[in-house]
Amino acid sequence: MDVTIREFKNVDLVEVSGRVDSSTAPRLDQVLKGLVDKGRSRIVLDLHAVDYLSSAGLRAIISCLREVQKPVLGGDLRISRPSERAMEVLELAGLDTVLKIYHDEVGAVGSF
Amino acid sequence: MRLKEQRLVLPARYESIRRLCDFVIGAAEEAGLEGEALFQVELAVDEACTNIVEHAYGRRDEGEIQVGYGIHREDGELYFVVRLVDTGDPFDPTAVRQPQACNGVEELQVGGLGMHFMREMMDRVEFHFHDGWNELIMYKRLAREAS
Repeated sequence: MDVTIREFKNVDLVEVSGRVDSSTAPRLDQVLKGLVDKGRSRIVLDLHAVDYLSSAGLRAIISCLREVQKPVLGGDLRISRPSERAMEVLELAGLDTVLKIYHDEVGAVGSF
Repeated sequence: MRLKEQRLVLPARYESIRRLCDFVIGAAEEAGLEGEALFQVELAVDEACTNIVEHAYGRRDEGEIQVGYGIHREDGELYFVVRLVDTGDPFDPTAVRQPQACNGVEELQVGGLGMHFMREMMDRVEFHFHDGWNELIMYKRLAREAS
């Protein structure tokens, strides 16, 4: 799994590629926590290059979502361009009803 | 259909899960599963192994996971079967709450997702508890046997 962060003025675009499973999800969790610790609370997670996503990855996403949505931060985590597999897993977990999901990067970043 | 039954035993650690999945997926492909069905089997095995590491052995970095596969015939149907065995703490699947529809992040239930995925991805999931060991058997339909 590779993670690339592109920092915009108010939003961080986190591009994830490869497999997000129980052995790689802790690294994603660490990256997301690192952003929140720096006070960054508007995060777009781009999943177009994720070819595998398990519940371990969802836990990292949910953990971050809960943190950034706290009133003191007033932020959000949104999804951009989920791959077919990633979308399937998000839907299976019911996260498609909780997360804002965009099918293009510009739309996701611009939504904040 | 010929599929030589095999077993693999690895330490119950996160690092072993990918190897265990690859072991099963190779056989599932040989059995004729492909595309979406192959992904579903991989995800189910991944989640099952993760549960064993986290709950049966409590992330104590001890114990082993034994994974095996084979073909099962029942009522004219053929199934690819995956069997996982561990000697960790007894596991009661009825104690795991199924994820419910939720209205917001506060209601999101994280626990139980792995079990939910296993049940959704496979056609049948069985848990058996023996004296000192747990057995999980998952079935994925292959085809109807030619009559």
